[in-house]
Amino acid sequence: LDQEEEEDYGYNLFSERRREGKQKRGFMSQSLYTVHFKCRNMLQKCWTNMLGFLLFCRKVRIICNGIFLVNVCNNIHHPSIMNRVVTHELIHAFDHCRAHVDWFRNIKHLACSEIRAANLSGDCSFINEVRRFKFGFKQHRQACIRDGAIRSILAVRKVDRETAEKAVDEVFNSCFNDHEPYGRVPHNSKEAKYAYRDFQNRDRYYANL
Amino acid sequence: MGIRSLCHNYYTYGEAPSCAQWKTDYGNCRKWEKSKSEHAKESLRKSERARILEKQKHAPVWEMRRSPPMDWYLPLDDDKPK
Repeated sequence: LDQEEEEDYGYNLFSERRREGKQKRGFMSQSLYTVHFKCRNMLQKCWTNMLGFLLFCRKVRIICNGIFLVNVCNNIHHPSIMNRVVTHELIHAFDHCRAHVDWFRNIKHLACSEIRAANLSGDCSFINEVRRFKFGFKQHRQACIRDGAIRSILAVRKVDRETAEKAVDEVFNSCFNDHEPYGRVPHNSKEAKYAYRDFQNRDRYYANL
Repeated sequence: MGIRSLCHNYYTYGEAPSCAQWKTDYGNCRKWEKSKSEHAKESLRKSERARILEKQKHAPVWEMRRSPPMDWYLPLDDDKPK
């Protein structure tokens, strides 16, 4: 891919790629006190909580440099934010796993995955919105999801805001109501555990149905 | 359950949730547990099938796969275009 296409596809967000051609990092920069080590620790804690989700798409295994978690290690300093971001990215991985998603050429596919990720990862819970000083209540979650999806699209693709808004509006109804792998959107970890229990019992459920 | 569910629903959909069907289903479930009533079982099944159909009424945006992609576990290849 040439330079322009790389920027267009968001490849410049990969910090490892940017470092290509420069000196390799020395031993000290990989030591205990770096963000990298803290990040790995938080990610490991996150995995133990996320095990249920991992089993939904049975073979999903994400590494820090992989396409879905590229931004995590750069900016996260708190475990709850880590949980949220990892869930968000795993929704993308799940979509990639279960459908032919054309991430780079079809903006509606990207919009759909972003809507689902904003909906199902807890990005748009009331508390998180209040923390961002957005105090809407009635049906505000949908506005939050719409804005979050548009922001995410603009962050990784070189398109204008109108195109992103149009794509999100076109697929909103279909994607907002698609709660896979959850049956109903979980609002806390207890509900997520219920969803995992439903997944474990799915054979019996479908046999009974 | 009550107030929290009300808040979440209002925040998401702008209206109070309708729980009548869930209540009926719960009643049917308890009836089946106690007396193994066929009628209760059939009502429950019908209600769940209707709920699943209701969820599927929007056409999916993308085409579903039959199995995960073959290269899902491979590290990113610097040279290959995606």
